[in-house]
Amino acid sequence: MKEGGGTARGGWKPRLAAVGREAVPPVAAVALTILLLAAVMLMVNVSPAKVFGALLQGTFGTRYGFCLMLAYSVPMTLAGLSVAIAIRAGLFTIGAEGQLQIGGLFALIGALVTGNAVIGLVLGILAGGAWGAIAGFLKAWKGINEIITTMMLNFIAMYAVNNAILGPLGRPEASHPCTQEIAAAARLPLMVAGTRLHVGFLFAVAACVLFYLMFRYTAFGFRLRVIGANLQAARYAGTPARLYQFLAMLISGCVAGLAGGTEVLGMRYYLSLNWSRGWGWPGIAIAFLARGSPLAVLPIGIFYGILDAGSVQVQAATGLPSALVQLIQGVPVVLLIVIQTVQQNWMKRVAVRG
Amino acid sequence: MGVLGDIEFWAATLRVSTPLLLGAAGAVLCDRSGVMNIAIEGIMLTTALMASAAAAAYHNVWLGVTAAALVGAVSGLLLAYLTVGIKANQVVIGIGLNLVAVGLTSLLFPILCFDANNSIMSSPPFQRWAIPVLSDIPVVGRLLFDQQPLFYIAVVAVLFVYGFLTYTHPGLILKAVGENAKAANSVGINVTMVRYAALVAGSLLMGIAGSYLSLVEVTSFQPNLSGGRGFMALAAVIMGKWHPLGCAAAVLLFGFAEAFQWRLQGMGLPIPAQLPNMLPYVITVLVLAGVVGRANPPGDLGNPFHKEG
Repeated sequence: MKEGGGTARGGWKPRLAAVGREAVPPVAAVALTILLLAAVMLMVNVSPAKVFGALLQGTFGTRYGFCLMLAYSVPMTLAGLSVAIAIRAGLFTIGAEGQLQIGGLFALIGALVTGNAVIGLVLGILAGGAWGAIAGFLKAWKGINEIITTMMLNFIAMYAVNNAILGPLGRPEASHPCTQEIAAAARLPLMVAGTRLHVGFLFAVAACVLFYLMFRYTAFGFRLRVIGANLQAARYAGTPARLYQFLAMLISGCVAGLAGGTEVLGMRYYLSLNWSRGWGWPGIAIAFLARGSPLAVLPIGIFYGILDAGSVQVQAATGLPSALVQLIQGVPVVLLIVIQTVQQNWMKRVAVRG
Repeated sequence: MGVLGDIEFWAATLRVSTPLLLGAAGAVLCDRSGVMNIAIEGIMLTTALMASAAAAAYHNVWLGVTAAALVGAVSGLLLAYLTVGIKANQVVIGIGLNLVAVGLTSLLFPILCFDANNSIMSSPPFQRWAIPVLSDIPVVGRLLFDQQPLFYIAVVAVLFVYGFLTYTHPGLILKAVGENAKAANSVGINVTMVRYAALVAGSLLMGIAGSYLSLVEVTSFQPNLSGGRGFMALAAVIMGKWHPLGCAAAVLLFGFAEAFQWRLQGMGLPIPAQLPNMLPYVITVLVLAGVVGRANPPGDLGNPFHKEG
């Protein structure tokens, strides 16, 4: 993953051109997706104008809908940031899903026991980090592919959380398996009264900005990028690469834990069986569309929030299954990779030709 | 442990295992050629829909299986073009295709599987095949030789992949490509061709696995029918250390755990009901970590091959 525009020197013009070149594939991918979707709608005899109208009306038309959309974007943005951090360090995690489930579970336990949102959130972050650290340890010191370990850890997390809900945390009198609700004082405060928008959104924005600054301006962030760009070179330069790989997975897990924690303390207030809607998966797509840049994760996360929140309105207005909008979660990333790869191959060919 | 003496329990284990056996056999082919096929989940979901639609429309389950196998093979071709042809990142493409599959199947489900009266069309039931003589053996005969035809196909698929990889020259070539693509190329092997072939064949088996979900387990499709079982097959491949027979053993352990969990739920014991389900994955991590045995993935697994010059 190349640093966006960082290679261009000497004034703002070449720099802007470089940023532009970097931005072409994601923008093209999103635009193509919208066109493709419109074509699918025409094929099933639904007016695209009506669908996009409902989508926009539902997410931008009312104050409540707008705030709901932002709240929906929080777990996906943070999951995307979690994956992006790992990508920057050259690690390919698909473990955000499991880490956010563990983070959500421990945030709930913390909030239930202490009645304090801050303690709950911190516990959630640490638990997510610990879950990521397992894969980090196995990668750094045992050389085990992180894709494989995080996939296994996702399953273990899912079953562990379900076991907790079925077992010790379960509410015996409930008709379906779920936990107690956390007290009002242990919930994340709302940003806008009368809506569902909680302060978790601010955390997501702050986290994206902070990690951008960390990667750009701190020695620690620089070393993470170096082990991601060239592990051999980093080792020759004396960077303790194993330690940094471990830390990258730990931090990535912490951010995913924050995703689960804010969702539980800000939106759900309790856990039920299979509570996660699988935010970790679009998180991977978001991280790749953002090309690993923490700052780009934010708008793309909100774009995914629009799709997610808007799909309900689309279903209500047109009778189309909300899956139509789910479809857009996967299409842009596949298109992006294709466009990017074709662009790279083309540029290589041009370079060879001289 | 009266459960273990109950033939129904073992029958349930085999029922759960059948699609995983097929999926794992397909994943072994892909992995051993060096391409990680994470799209298995989406392929199984899509082919389950296609199998159900074809079988219900023409009242023929075998047409459903054929349709699923074909759609699987075509998905494999698409995946091969994206990951081997233009060398896009295998994992991102896999996850992207999985997301697409969830949306696409939910969108196509009402169009393909509902009749004019707006009710779900069911496929005809799959008939068991009792193998003459063998099925008359007490207990074992009933368990193994009076089975769903797709169970036999699954067993044959596993044995075929095992025999192919272990005893044939093309199998050796496939393993060489997965282990060290550069070296394979230097002795004149067409790495791209081999990987295309492995992905098409592997995805075809995944397609048959998908057809089992919607034709045998139930008789109509429903959204998200695969429910993570493609990933389960991948986990079994890792636990089985990329060896076809080892993977089959891992699948049976997974099937055993699942069947056991159903029994626990049925008995209402105060044991966390999903604990047995968790164990296979914990064991897999321990295997990977070297606590129990050691698992070495194919050397070039996940690495795209770039021909120099």
